[in-house]
Amino acid sequence: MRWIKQYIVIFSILLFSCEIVEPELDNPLDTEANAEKGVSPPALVFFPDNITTNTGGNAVVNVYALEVENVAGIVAKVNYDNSKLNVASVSPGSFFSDSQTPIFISEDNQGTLDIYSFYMGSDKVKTGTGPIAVIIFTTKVPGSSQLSIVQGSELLDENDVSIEIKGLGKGVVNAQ
Amino acid sequence: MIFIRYITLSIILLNAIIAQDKRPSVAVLDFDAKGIPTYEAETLTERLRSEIANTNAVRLTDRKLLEKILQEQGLQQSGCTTDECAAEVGQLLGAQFIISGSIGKLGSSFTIDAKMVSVTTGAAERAKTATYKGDIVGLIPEMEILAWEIVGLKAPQRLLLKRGGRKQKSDDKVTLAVLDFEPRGISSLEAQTLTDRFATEINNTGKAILVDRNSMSEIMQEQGYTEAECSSEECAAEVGAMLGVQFMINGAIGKLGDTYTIDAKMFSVQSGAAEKTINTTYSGKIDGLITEIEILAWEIMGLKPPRSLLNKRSGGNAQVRNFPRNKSRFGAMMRSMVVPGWGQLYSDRKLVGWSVLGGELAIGALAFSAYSSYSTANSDLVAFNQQYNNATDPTQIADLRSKTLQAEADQVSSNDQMTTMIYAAGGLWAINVVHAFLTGPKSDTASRKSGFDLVYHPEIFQPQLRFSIALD
Repeated sequence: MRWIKQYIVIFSILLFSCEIVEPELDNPLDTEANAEKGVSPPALVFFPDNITTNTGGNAVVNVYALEVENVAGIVAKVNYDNSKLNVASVSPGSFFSDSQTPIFISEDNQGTLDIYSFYMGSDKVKTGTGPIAVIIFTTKVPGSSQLSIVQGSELLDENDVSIEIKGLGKGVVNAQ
Repeated sequence: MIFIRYITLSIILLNAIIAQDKRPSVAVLDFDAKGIPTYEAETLTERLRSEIANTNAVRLTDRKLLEKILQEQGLQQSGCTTDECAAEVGQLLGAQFIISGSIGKLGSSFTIDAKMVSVTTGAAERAKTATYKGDIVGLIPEMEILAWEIVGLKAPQRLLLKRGGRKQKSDDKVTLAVLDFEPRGISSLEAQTLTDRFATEINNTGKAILVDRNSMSEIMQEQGYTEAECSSEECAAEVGAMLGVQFMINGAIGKLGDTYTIDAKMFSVQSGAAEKTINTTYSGKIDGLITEIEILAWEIMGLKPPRSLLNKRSGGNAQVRNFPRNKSRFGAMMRSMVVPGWGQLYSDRKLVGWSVLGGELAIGALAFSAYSSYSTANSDLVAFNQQYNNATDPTQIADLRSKTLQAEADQVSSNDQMTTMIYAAGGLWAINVVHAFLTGPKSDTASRKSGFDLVYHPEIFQPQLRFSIALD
């Protein structure tokens, strides 16, 4: 009977060991993945949009401008749960910093973080995808905290005319 | 003086006796020892003398008389090596011929040179030589054979077998004789023909030195037996001992309705113990018995019959059962479960067996190949997916997305192939198990249609009705 058991084990391994790995194609900067989530460019999104850290630890989140055209200034309003997160720092991203240092202002209103980044003058614009700000949150308590870029955020052209934002990203910070 | 008179008188009396016997008189001088001790040469010469006496072809001069003559002449046997000396001694003895010679040793080989010289002419009448490699004891049969050959006779079979028996150790052959199988329900002529075929096939195995029928008949006639009378093991053992063989085979061929039975037994002449007993039952034309008895010849020698014989058997319509038989359908099935095709090989279906095994191996190789592809695709998928998740460049993201999806497709395809191959292998395995069971050897007891058999009981010499129940 022993060899029958061995046969069953061998056959089981052959039949059940080959699992199919499903890929996770949800990069927040992937246009196709965003389209499936209902986020169309031009948009403001978080990258990464899902961060796990220890309680009391830092979570670094980039705010990205996704496939924008001829943008001279950005206003991003980020909502966060201030009972779970603190804003440790906000610094400019590389999107507006590669050729000329932009004016960068951030204002933490304990639950809402307003970020302003724009060029002085009317001849500088940016097109494409890139980070406009790097936010470092500090987690206070264990649990999951939602981040969202909310209405009131703006993309402005060189004439200070608002460009329609079609998608606003969301993110999650998990504190363990 | 008294001693000389005694000698002279002895010679006169001897000549008077010889005159009435027309056989030539022969004296044998001790063979010259070259490289072996003298006493060994003397012992071997003595064996030559006694065997020459057994030939009955010549009259042998008494050894003591020979020694006395030589002493009187101031000669020693071993010193008288020339033909002239031999002729002189022969004349003194009144012998017509003198046999002299030498036994030499070269490395591990021994040489024997013997010569028979005519006393009258002094010429060598006959010369014989023999070379032997091995133990010195092996020279005894050589000297015995030489005894026959030097007097111009052919050595008897028993001596040749004795020589063959000594060589058997190196050749791995046994000496044996086959007695005519006892006919029971068939004619003696048919039994003899089948026995002859059996003996021929034993010879074909190359594992036995067989005594020919004539030599055996001679010995039996000498003992006042006919082959038909010598059916008991005691008689067979007695004949075997006289033939100088190690084993004897006897047996019987019986007929029950349309069924024939062959029983054969090989037993040791020395111990009388049965070495091997084998029997077979055959249904069909009597011609088919030829193949059966040929197969039996191989089996009784403990050898597997050649494929040609087995094919010859399976080509016929006859149904054959061999006893004892260990193979069964269940055994075939179990073997096929462990190793696909093994059950078929066990059932002597070599082609099917190897085909199944080959098929399984081929499918296994394809499955393994598919598994390798799956593993590669799986590793690629994990790596590309990780790169995709970390990428921030839209072009790179699109490229990695495409690669990840391709790897996923490859993974699924390889997995499908592998699953198909595994199912194919499993299917072939299941078919192979069922096939092994259905075409496997039938169990002796279970396959019998009837539990009743009419058999011949060899001990009470009467037919018996036998009832059997299959317990498997």
